Amino acid sequence: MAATPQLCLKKMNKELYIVKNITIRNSMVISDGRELYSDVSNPDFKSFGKDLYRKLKCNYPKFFKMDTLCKLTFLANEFITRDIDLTPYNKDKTAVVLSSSSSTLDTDTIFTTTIHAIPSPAVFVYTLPNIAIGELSIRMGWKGENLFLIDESFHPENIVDQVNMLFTASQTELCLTGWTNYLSPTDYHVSLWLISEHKNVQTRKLTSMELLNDFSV
Amino acid sequence: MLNGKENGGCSKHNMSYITSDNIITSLGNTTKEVISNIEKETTGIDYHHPYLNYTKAPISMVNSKKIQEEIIGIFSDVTFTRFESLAILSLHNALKNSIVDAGSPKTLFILSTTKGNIELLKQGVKPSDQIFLHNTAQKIAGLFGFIARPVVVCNACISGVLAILLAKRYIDSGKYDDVVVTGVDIVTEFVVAGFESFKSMSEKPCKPFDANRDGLSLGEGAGTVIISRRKKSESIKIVSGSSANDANHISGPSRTGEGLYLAAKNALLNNHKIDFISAHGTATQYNDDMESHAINRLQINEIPVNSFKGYFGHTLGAAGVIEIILTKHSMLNNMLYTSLGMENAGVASPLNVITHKQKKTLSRCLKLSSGFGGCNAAIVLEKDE
Repeated sequence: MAATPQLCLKKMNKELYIVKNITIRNSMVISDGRELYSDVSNPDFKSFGKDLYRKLKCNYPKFFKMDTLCKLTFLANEFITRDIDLTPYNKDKTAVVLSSSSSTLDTDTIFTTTIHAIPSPAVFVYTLPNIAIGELSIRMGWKGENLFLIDESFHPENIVDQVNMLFTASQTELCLTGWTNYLSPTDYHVSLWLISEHKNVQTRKLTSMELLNDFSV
Repeated sequence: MLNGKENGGCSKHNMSYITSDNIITSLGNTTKEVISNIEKETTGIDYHHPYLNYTKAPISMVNSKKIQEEIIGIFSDVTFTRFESLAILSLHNALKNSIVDAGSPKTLFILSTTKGNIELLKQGVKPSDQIFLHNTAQKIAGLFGFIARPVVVCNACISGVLAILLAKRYIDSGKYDDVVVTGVDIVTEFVVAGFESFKSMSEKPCKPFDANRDGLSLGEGAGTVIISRRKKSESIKIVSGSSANDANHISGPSRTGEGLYLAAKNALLNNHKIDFISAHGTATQYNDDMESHAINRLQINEIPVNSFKGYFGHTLGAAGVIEIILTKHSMLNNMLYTSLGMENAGVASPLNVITHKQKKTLSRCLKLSSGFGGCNAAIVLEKDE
C-alpha cells in the first residue's frame, strides 16, 4: 500500500513516443512525412487498394473478404508494421484505438439494399466499425485493449488523451492508434501511429502537433 | 503487489462512483420499475411483428408511445427519432436525480451505441446528417447543455462496458469530474435482418446458459449512468476494468474464451474474491460456452453468475450500461437475481448459475461483456464500506 503514491507519480511522468506513422489518402502512401508510393492516375480506392495489396505481397486472402473500411485500415497497418521489430512488445499488451467519422456507412448502405432480398452475414458483420480492430488483431495476434470512437473530424488531442490514459491505466506496452475514414472511393483517409514508451533515434515525442503534421501531409 | 484498491487512483479522492442512473427497457422507463419486474421474474420479451418475415422472433420492445408522451412534456418544440427519444428520456431521468452540472467544462457526455439512427438510412436516398453518430451525440448533448465535446463509443456489444471503463479512466486522469454515459440501441429492420442472417435469433424467449438455448432475443433500451469523482448518496464504485481481443475470428468467439479471460484477469488485478458475476449471457450456443470456459479458466466458476438478458433481451450498445446498473442495484439490495430462462444446466464448463433469487452480501462484483470483432471487456464494481 505504501508504494501507491510512487507508482502513480511514476505513471504520470510517463513520456510516450511515436515509433512510426503511415497515412494513406489521395492515392498516396506517406510514412513520417516521406512519400512511399503514389499513383494519382488511380483516384478510386477500390483499384488503388488492390494495387497496394499486390505491391505489399501480403499473401493474405482474407483481405478480399473485407469491407472498404477494413481494407483501408489493413493496408495502413501492413505498411506501419513492416520493417519494424515488434518482438520486444508483448502481443497481449498491444492495444488498438481507432476513430472515424463515417464509420461503416459504406457497408451499411450495401447491407440496406439486401435487407429485403437475402441479407448476408458476411456483409452484416462489417456494419460494426470495430471489426477493423478485429481484423488487425487476427493479422497481428494482438490481444490488448480495444476502443473504437466516432468523432466529427480528426482531433489529435483526443488521440493523445486516449493513448495517455491507456498507458497509465492498463498494461499497454504498444498502441496502434489513429483515424480511419472511408466515405467514398475518392474520399478516404487513414492515418495510423504506433506509440510506445521507448525512445530511440527514430522515435518522436508524442504531441498533438506531431500527429496533426503527419495527418495533414 | 497490485491489488484492487490501488488501481482506483492515487488517493481515495480519485474514485469513480456511480451517483445516478436510469434504465429504459420493455420492463419500464425507470430503474425502479425495471428492478421491480426483475424481482417478480417477469420478462419483457414478447412476440412482436416488427419487420419483414421475422414474425416468429420474440423481441423486447420499449413502450414508444409512452416515451413520446413523456418527451413532449420535456422538449415540446423539437422532433426526435425513436433512437433519440430513448436516449433523451434516459438522460433526463438520470440527470434530474443528480446535482451534476452538464454545463461544466469538467463534465463529459459519452454516447454508447452500435447502430444509432440506422433506421434513417433508406435504400437509394442520400444519408441524412443524423446517420453520423457524432451528430446524434451532439444533438443530444446540446439539449442538456453539455459544453465538453461528446465522445461516442461504437465497439459492438462491449460498447457500454467500454464507455464506463473510459469514463473511469477520464476521471482518474483528472480531465473530468463527472462523466455521463448513455447507452442506447433500438430494434430496427437492419439489425433484425443482420442477426437473422447469422441464424443467431431464438424462436422462443432466450434461455441464457440453458441446455436447450438456441439463440438470442434482440432487445431495445437505454441506460444512463453518472460516474463521479466525489461520492454522493450511493456507494458503488468502478474500481478497475480492462478490454482484450481474442485475435481469433471476427464473428465467432474464441473457443477457449481467450480474450474474455484476459480482460477479466486484468480487471480482477490478482484479487479473485468476488461475490457475483453479471455475465454477457446472450443465449447463443457459442457465447455461453465461451463464457463458461473463460470463467473456469479464471477459477471463479463457484461464484454465482447470471445473465439479465432473459428479462429484456440483448440490448447491444445499451447492454453493458443497463447490466452494470443492475449489478449496482443487486449490490445495494444484496440480492442475487434469477438468471431468467435457465432450467437445465447446459454449458461446456460448469457454472453456478442463479436459478432462485436469494439474499447475499455483495461487496465486489464482476461484469463481463463480449462482442463481434473478437472484443471483450470486464469491469469490477465495489461497495464502499
